[in-house]
Amino acid sequence: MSQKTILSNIAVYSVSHALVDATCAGTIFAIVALSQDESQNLFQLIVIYDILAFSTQPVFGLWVDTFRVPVHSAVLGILLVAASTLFLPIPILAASISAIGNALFHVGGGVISLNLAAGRAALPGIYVAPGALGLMIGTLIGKGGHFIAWPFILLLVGSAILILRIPKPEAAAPHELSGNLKWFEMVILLLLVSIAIRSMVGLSLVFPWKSDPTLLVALTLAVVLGKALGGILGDRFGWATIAVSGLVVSAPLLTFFPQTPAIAIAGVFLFNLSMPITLICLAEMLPGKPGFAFGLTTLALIIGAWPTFTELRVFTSHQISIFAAILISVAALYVGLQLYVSHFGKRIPTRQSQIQPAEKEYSGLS
Amino acid sequence: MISDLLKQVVLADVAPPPGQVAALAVGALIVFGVIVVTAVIISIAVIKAIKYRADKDDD
Repeated sequence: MSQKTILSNIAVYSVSHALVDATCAGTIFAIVALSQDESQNLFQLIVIYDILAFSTQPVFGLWVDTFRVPVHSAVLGILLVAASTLFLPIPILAASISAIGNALFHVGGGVISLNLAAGRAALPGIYVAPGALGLMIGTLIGKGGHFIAWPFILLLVGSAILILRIPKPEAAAPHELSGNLKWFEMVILLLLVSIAIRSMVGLSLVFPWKSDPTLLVALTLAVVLGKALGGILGDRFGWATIAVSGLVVSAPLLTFFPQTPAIAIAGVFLFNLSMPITLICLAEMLPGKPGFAFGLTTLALIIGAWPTFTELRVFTSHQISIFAAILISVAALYVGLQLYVSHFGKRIPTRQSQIQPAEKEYSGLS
Repeated sequence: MISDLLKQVVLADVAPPPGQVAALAVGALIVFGVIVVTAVIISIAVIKAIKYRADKDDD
């Protein structure tokens, strides 16, 4: 695959990702702004949005994998998100269309990013990272009551056209899953447990200083950089080294210093390093099923988020619970990655690994 | 990601009283349960099928 194809795809899909998430957040908060006195319905609306956006991705992923239609999925998703902005007076319809569109785009773009450099975490990390930025921008616009549909629609349609015009990456030739299949489900389960716990912790953390716009931007950039650099550093220095050490160091920072912005922001950065590594490891465990692998991660995210939707949140946001949860996530990730390396990881980057000749072209990027 | 919206909206800007939140959550959690459990069941079945196929290829 040419460098031009890789660069154009990752640039267009990453920017589109930010745009899609910004539009979804803007739409949801525009609904909130329109219906300020209906908090009861809004609570249910947003929970339903989250469920549809996150838990449907494994099924959409299977569809994309079976029919090899990641580009169609991404474009359809973008168009649905654009259409959702026209249904603000019907909140449940706007939220549902927006959620389904979001899910379709994420899966389509996720498959493209995984196909651009098979077995490498950098590009999926770069693709996922801008979502947090888009979410912040959309939230600020929506909450400020400044959401206007047409600029978003124009930008989304423009990005859909760009996606259709750029060179399509070839689907990665599925490698055969070889190894000790006795550990197959265990590796997948441990990776998903690690993701679910990370989701729970991420939603349980309370940063009282987040109302300061400058600090909010810094926090968002920490999330973006953590996800983007996690894959690049993981490919260079080893997946386990970066993912596990990042989580371990983040545990005390996030648990004991959430009130200190500089330390907490550093903790958030380290906390996010493992995201692209768990994604690529899952995709490697499920050869030929990158969409399904991507969807599994989002299913784990919503399952992990569940306790924070309930009164269990009081428990999950307790200092000791956060510390313990991060350590459990570390243990699950460490054991999962070790089992993967031992039994399946022919292509896993480690500190000692050498770049394969076929990967030289890609490595020139980083 | 978007879950963060839930936290901000429900717990900050338009939060109903805590008792009401619990009652409200019941309906949403039923929907949550049905959709998420279905997705989990499908995912487990697919993972088992992938393993079965890989096992067969090994043989």
